Amino acid sequence: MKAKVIVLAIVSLMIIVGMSIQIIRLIGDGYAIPSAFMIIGMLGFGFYMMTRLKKVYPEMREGIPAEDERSRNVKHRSAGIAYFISLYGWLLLFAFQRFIEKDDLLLLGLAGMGLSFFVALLLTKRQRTGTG
Amino acid sequence: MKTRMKEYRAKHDLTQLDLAKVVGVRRETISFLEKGEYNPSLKMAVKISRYFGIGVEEMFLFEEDELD
Repeated sequence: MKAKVIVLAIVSLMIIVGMSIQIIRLIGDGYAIPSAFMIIGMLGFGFYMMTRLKKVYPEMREGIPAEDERSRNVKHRSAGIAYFISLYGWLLLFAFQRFIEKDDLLLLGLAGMGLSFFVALLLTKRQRTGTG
Repeated sequence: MKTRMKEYRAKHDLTQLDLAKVVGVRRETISFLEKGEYNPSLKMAVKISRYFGIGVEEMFLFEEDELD
């Protein structure tokens, strides 16, 4: 489990470094608004990961797992919901592809996928779930 | 589904966190189980019931129509 936290921390760090490089490039190319969105996204992601690690690590030291049967069920259900939302999202984006540049279309689609999973996770977290 | 987990937990003077540690799940899962808002896997149900020394059917109570 400790290895899982280390991997999570390394992946998070890589995402933040990657986003920082992209932000510097965007600012260099004069794209102020997309870079501002990316900075907000990066700060949000960093804050989320910090609070998550802060919550999970002391619990893990006490012997409480970071993930269990219920949290896995919630994640699977959210992924299913997000998959369908993403399908319709991509269809919608392709319907308007004439008016959107390819790069923006990909960025919107991928960001939408991430957002739909996050929203589905928030909604499913409090719902009645189970194996039966 | 109803459970008698809260009752047995109180009898054994355990907190939700203590029980979570014993069963190997998160505290939230114990809370959801006690409220009847989570149907556990058979493995988890057996683990909890065995810890309190009773049968699964004594710990987790289903109404007839819930089994249909």
